[in-house]
Amino acid sequence: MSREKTKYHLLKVIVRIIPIQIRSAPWNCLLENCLGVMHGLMFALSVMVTQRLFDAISDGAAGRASYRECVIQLVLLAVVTFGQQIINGVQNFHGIGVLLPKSAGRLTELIHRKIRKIDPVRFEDTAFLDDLNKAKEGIKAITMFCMLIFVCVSFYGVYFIAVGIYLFRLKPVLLLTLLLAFVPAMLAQTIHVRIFASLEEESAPLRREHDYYQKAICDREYFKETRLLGAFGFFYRLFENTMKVLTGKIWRAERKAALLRLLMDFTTFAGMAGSAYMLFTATMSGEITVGMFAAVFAALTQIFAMMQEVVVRQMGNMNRDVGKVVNFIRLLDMPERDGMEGEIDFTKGITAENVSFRYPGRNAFSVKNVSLHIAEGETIAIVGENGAGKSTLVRLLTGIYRPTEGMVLVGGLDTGSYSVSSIMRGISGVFQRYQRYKMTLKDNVTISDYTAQADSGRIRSVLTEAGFEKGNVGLEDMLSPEFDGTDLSGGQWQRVAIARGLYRANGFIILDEPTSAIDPVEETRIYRQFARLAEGKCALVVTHRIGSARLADRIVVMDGGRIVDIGTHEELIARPGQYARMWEAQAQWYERG
Amino acid sequence: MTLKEKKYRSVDTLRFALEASPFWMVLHIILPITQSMIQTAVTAVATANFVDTATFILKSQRPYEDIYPALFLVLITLGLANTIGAASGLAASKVRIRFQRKIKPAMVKTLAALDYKHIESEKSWELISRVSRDPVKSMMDGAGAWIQFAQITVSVVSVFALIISQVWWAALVIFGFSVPMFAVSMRAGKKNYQAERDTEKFNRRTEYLGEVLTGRENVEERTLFGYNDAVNHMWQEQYEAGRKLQIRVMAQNFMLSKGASMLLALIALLAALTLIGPVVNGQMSAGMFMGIVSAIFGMIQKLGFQMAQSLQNMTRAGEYMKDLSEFAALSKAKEALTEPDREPIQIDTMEFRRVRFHYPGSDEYILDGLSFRLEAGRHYAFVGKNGAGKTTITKLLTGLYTEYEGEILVNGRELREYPLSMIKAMFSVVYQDFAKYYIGMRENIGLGDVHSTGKEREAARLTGLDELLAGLPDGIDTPLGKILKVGQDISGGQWQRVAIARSLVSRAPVRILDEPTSALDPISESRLYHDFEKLMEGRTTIFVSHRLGSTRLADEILVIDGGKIAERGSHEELMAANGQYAEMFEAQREWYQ
Repeated sequence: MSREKTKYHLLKVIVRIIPIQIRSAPWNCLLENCLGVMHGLMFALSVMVTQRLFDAISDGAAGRASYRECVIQLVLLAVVTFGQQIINGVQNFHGIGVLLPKSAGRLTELIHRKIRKIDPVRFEDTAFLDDLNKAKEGIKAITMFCMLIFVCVSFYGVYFIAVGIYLFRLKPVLLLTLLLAFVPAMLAQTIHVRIFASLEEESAPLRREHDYYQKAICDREYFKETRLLGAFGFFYRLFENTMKVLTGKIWRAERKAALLRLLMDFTTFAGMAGSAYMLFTATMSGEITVGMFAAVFAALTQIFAMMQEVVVRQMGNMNRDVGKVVNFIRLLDMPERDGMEGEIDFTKGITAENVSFRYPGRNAFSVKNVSLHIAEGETIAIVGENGAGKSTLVRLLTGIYRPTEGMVLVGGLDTGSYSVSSIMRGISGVFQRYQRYKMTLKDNVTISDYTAQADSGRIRSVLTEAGFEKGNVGLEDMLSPEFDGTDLSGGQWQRVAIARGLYRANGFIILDEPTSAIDPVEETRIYRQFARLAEGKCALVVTHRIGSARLADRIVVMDGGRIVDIGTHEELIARPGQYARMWEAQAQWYERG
Repeated sequence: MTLKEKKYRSVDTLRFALEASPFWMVLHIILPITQSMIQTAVTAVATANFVDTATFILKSQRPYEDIYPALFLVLITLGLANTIGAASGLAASKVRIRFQRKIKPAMVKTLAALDYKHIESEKSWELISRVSRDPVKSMMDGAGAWIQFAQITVSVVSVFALIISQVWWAALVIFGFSVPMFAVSMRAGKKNYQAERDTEKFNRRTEYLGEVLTGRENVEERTLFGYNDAVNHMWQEQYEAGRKLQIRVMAQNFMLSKGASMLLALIALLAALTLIGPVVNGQMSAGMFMGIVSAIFGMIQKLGFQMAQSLQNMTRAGEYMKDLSEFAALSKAKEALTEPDREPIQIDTMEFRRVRFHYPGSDEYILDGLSFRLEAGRHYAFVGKNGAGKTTITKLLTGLYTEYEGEILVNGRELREYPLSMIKAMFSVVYQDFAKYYIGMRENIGLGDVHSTGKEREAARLTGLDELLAGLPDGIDTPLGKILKVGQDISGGQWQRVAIARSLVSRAPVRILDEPTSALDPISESRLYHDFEKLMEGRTTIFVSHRLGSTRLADEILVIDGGKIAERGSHEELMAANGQYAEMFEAQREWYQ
């Protein structure tokens, strides 16, 4: 599949996510904005109150105002200051402590619901997994992003408007101050983004390399081998060299950025000096009082700092986060898999007709032109080398994947047009990648069928049937040391997985054998178990050990995505084919004279 | 720079940075401090001077020209306050780069030299990962926090000095009430870490459930069992519980840090109140009042936030440095970083005598009185159940673990007395979890013998990699893995062959092969077995495997059970003994009959 990535423009992104954000916590969004407006007003108000205090003070110094009048102005300032601090505190707390986690929770659920509808085959596509991970990172980013928008509009917007009005009323030309503050900040931000974007582009591969060499020395998967080989020196040299190049690049970029920043700072300064000069002429011509001068002059630093904040920090953060936000939207926009509802009828067996399958993003077919019928109550074993397409065929025959070409009928339902839940209703299985859920023993079993009434008698009986040796593990015990529970051995986990497969009511069962190293006695036990489970049902057994396929009614031999042979063990062993070759390759080592 | 075994404290971050780059670090300290002095006291004086001069001029008590020096002073202050930032930012990045160049190698060297037991122990590995994640950032943040703290102190002190110079008694009054309040607000600014850790538990749990809902590993079970809604429900419960706890924690933190800011605001107001009197009485000019009050109010806007931040970072740096001290104190293996000796010694015998061993952190003896003796030039197979200790034996033999009871003798001399460089030269190991080095194929194989090159191509041929080589863009010089852009991914089986080839180029007299065919298909496995004798000619081999077909390659088989040798002998002897080996062998053989 070509990875056509739709471009999302900033404005489009904003229009898309604001409603999502608001729906996730409407009242909190409203409150957040109200707080922002109040906070902005308070900030602006404090400039005015300071000015009045300073006017009173200069009058006081000249003997035109009493001590009391000065104190009254100070008390006013106190009220505004405290009010501002309180609102600031409440707003911060509400934003980060309430709104963010609340929305993050709702948005995460949105992803959970979406994932349910996404075609499972996408999970084999590393690009999709990347996107999914990025989308998850986007969860917090969305709320942060929206909060930034909120704060820019409600807090900074209100602040600048209020201050603007105040300045305008003092002297219209002072309104220029805001512009003088805005331009250099904007320029600085643009240049900064450019420099570091290109640095990132240049240094990302180098950094990956550098980090890797460190890993080759220090990471667990490499540690013992690197040590025993004496390869420390080899990797250390690579590590040091890449670091020198990398830090050199970073330094050059930083130096450039610093010089440009200095230039921008001078521009900012020029802006401030210009504003200060306007204040100065206004003061000297008596248009404004010295108190006003002092108050506005003090506020000048604040105005410029706020402008820097909104443009450099907030917009910088937005720029940083917008990518993550887009990832989230991209996930929401992904096509979903749906289908009709229907009733499954296993007397019709399972049929594949000319089925071909290609993983998204790959050119070659993993399964090519396969036709197969599993009759009611029949057990089929699939054998073949690694990469022969065994697991893929299983996923096709169970409807987990939909064929690229051809048709699969599970109990009479076409997997291409019926919904996942309709098809899965009567299927159960034990997979090669069986899961060790960090949940209670009970949940570990009943997770295969939550719709069934959890009855502990039944849970116990499937556990016993699977050969699970309880020891002192109870049904309600957590099976994870990480969550203060106990851990099971590999063999016991395998049995829990089998119990899980048994627990789910089914007319069709999949048994995909584990490849991990297990000892021979245990291995044999598992095969026998599989054979018992499969009795009387449609069953598919995938095995990597040629010998164990004998348990099946028929054996399907796969190679290169095709079925190269079908037959009973005796039939297959009798004719010179791949099955016989593989059989011989393994069997000869067990012939000892 | 090296890490010493000592107790590091938060303030040591400054020392480290100074050591890494003295000149730039001094700049990095002095510039911000100067800046904060200019922003507060100096600006206050300049403002005061300007306002007072302007007042006199407006009252026509001084000539108009007097205003220019005052204006100039104001503008210069403004200019300096604005431009120092860029310079100090540049100094900071220089320090960071120098620091990285020194601390990262020191870190890598320390880590690479650790006793192997720390790498496998969950507890110390957690510490190691924590410390090595981003040492530069952790320490720079720590140093930055101290600088910020100094900045705060200097601003406070300089403004205070200014007040003393004006009205000494007012300064005393302000000092009297502000010191205790300042102290209280500092304490309040500290964060409550314990509560944060409590919420961690919920976070980990929701994270896990989220993984179950969206991860790749369980996509089959998720699709088949359709448990999304039920697990999502669990997720919701955990998330909400964690969120509520977090809100409480956050509310507390915000109250505390806002409380601190309020106290600071109160200080500012009381200071202003104290100063009104002197102004009205003519002890202090109105301009000075405005300058000082502006400075104080400007300061408290930032102070509350900055102080909380600086204290928080200091505490965090303190915790990091505590980890670092612990990390530096971890025991190290002597000569861990050396290359193997150029000429391996000749080995005649290897013997375990009543060896008992348990992994650190576990009381269970995995080897319990193990004794055996191996002769040079013979092939040995180690078999046994999962967890019987087969792999542990190889780890002990290669000197990875040294804390065993009993003796391990090589040529009759205790293994622990050999220098590590000599041990490295003795053994070549193909690990069960062999390393996949993402470097060129040639180097990948060549690492088997760091002292010479030239045998790589032959080794690749012997392990059946020639077909792959022919298909690679740069043949044997093609980088493997996805670290470099041009790197090529190869299959698990191919990686395993590279690992075997690596062992083939080694000149070590003893080769240990731990499940070396786990990723190979039956036919390749069989081929490797066929060539085994030729490949291993003249070497002593220890072959660990579950696939008992492989025991045909061995002169002698050792069955490990319960940490001891349960059986030992040739295949025929063991089959005749009808013990554990016979049971396991029969279990596997019966599939091939």
